[in-house]
Amino acid sequence: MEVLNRKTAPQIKPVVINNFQNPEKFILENGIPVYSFNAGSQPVVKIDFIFEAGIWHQPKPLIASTVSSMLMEGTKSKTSKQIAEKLDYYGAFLSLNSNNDFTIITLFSLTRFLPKTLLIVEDIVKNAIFPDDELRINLNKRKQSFLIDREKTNQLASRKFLEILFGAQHPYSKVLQAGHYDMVKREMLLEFYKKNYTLRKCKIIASGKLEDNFLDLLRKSFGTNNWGGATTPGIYNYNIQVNKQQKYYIKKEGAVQSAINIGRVLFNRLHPDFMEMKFITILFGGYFGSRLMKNIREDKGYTYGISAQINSFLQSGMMKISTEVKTEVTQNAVKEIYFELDKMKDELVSEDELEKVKSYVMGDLLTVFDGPFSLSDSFRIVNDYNLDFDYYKQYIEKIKNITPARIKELSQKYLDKNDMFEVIAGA
Amino acid sequence: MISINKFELENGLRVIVHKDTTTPIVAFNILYDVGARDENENKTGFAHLFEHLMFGGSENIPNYDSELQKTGGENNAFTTNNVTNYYLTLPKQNLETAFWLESDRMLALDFSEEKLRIQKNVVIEEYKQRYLNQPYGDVWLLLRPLAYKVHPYKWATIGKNISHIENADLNDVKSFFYHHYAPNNAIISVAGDVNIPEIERLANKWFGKIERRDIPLRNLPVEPEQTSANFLEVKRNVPFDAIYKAFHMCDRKHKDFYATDLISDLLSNGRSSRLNQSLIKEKKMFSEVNAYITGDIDNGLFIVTGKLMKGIKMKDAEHAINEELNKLRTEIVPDNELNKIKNKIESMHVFSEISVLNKAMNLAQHELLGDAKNINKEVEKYRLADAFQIHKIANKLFRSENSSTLYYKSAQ
Repeated sequence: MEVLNRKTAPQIKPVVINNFQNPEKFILENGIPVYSFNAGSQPVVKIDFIFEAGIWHQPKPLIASTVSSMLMEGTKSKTSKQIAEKLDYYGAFLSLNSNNDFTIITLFSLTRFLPKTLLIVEDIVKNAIFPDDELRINLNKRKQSFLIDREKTNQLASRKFLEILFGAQHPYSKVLQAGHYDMVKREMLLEFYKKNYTLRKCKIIASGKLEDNFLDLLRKSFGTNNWGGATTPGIYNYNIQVNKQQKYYIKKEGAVQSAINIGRVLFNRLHPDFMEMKFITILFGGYFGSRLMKNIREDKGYTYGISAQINSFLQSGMMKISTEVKTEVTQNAVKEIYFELDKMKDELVSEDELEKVKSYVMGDLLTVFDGPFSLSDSFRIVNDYNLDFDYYKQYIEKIKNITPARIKELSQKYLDKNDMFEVIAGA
Repeated sequence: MISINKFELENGLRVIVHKDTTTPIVAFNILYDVGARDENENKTGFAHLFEHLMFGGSENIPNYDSELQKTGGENNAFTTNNVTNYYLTLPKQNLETAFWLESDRMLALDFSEEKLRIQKNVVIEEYKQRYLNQPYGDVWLLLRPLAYKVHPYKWATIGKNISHIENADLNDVKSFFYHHYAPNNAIISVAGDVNIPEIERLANKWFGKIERRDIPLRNLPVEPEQTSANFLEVKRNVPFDAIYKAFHMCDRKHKDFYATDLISDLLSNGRSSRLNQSLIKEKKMFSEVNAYITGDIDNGLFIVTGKLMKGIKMKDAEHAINEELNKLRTEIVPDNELNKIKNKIESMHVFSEISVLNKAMNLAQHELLGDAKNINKEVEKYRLADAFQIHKIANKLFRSENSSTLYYKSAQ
């Protein structure tokens, strides 16, 4: 009879990833690039229509997000209600999302209904009219949720944080007041739409069970003629304003927790140190067993959660630590965060910890292949920078070779507490 | 349709296997048939606090998370009023680690005063973060005791109040473990590129020797039929008024469940749904509206909620909601509208079967309700519900004496 040894872990087989395969690429007659991953077992598709129409490109606050969120609210031939009825009837979902750099329209559809659902996307991309009545409803709704968000300590902290990191004039600071919702006018939307929702600013990424007719459908709707207005290249240029004051405190009456944001401007994916800094950020605060979680949650019990993240935007990037802690221990928590930052630059990471994080990151990378949508999302993130899956291959190489000494060196360079900005919102 | 295999070990542990060869990730889910409804009324929040303690190490494995991270895996868990559910995803070649980790903490947890003290703090901060430090965060702490007078659904998973968590002691913890964590009170489901004999071998190897434990028979008080409307008004420091209405509905296994769920979809699933079109778009009275069911195993709640536009009176808002609900009692839902909703449900079902983790979780839930294989009959059950059944249920559901209404008013 086999005696079970529970003390020893089953043998671990390392994760090897060698099947990064770039998507098929097609160029439609009018020049729009289409990337496709024909994969998966379910009869569904997801298609991203990506426009260079993000916050960076907007002339005034809220324009990019209002245009995208209004696309479904009426076209030359259909009312908002008719569009909604059609989409719901085919069981399709459309998500409309504007971020710092792009607007992404994502269609989720059953494969067999794609010929119908694609026509709806075509209509809203080419023929949206932004009716005044719908616009008022949209703005009033969003203004109310903005005002509700403003009651949350974590929102107060993160808004202020972006403002002092990039400077109030910079689009990435996303500075917003309730009054901005009253200043959005239909003409501004139409102008932004005409200028930015054009074939020259568009690319398409498709994934899922794609049938043979899929390219023909895309061609018919998006590929033949010259649609959208004439595009003048973006003339917007913004510089980051370096803020003198590094620490801010926002009073929120009655709050039972303080929200803390600590971090700095860094760089984007294209910077030679980005990959290693991403790895370091994970070790420091990017997974459940991270330094920050171990100390501030699992050892001190100050918080339900704490994390560090690194963000890449087309024109910049940032590193941010965020948490919500018990009011009484706010200063202790801040002290511990700086203590952990110092430790990164003063001490070498142990081989044990390094190996664990490497395994964790490799396992996490494996999820790129967990289904067709995950493949296309992972591709989209790097393709924003005109990169492809080779990027992930390089990332794996970087991770394999990163050493405790290199981590210390980079931490000294980028995680110095004197370079950090700090915002606390609480009672 | 997804393929499903299942078997049961001698100690009563049920195992469900679903093979999906399209992903390198395998999902391992273990559901324990214990939730907040099984708690003592004076010691609430315990099932959830216990979920936190399950990550504090077991007899032979001091650090659960670390061992899993070494394999490239991740995990989390959640507690509801009905169940406690733990889930892991990991590279398929390291699946055995999941069996090792989960079997050891089912066998014997490593209890300590220090770990309990820390996790009590963490849970108290979770309580604050989710319920107290959020606008409208305490709604469920108010709504549950308003709607339920007897059944343990009257308290939230996080607990009735913070003192219950503060007062938990190590003896409570131990007793809870041995009363609820056992092979004969758990369901494992594994989904991914696996082979079934191998799963049987691993299940027997790691869980086979864990002995059955005595699980107290669940004997929950039955909520008596409500005979008059409940009402509560509170003032809070939030920018806008909100209204919440809760109606008692059937249990998860009842034949009316699917038709009841369809009613909530007619009202608010999708932009073309009734409440969206009428209350937000046409009447412009709300900034948000929502209708949904709690989906509880015992008799659950049908919730209708909305945030009011500035300047709209609560009475008028409630009246507008009631008008929409009454339409379902007086008029038969047109065929095309019903079809639209059923299409939507079918589509959501197909999309939910893309992720192995989702499938593993759903399989365990269905097994708990009776049979994992029923997952393949879900869409059909929705398709069978007809307009007359919906009409009948709406009449039973949306009676004033079956309602609990919460006016959540802005004090600003």
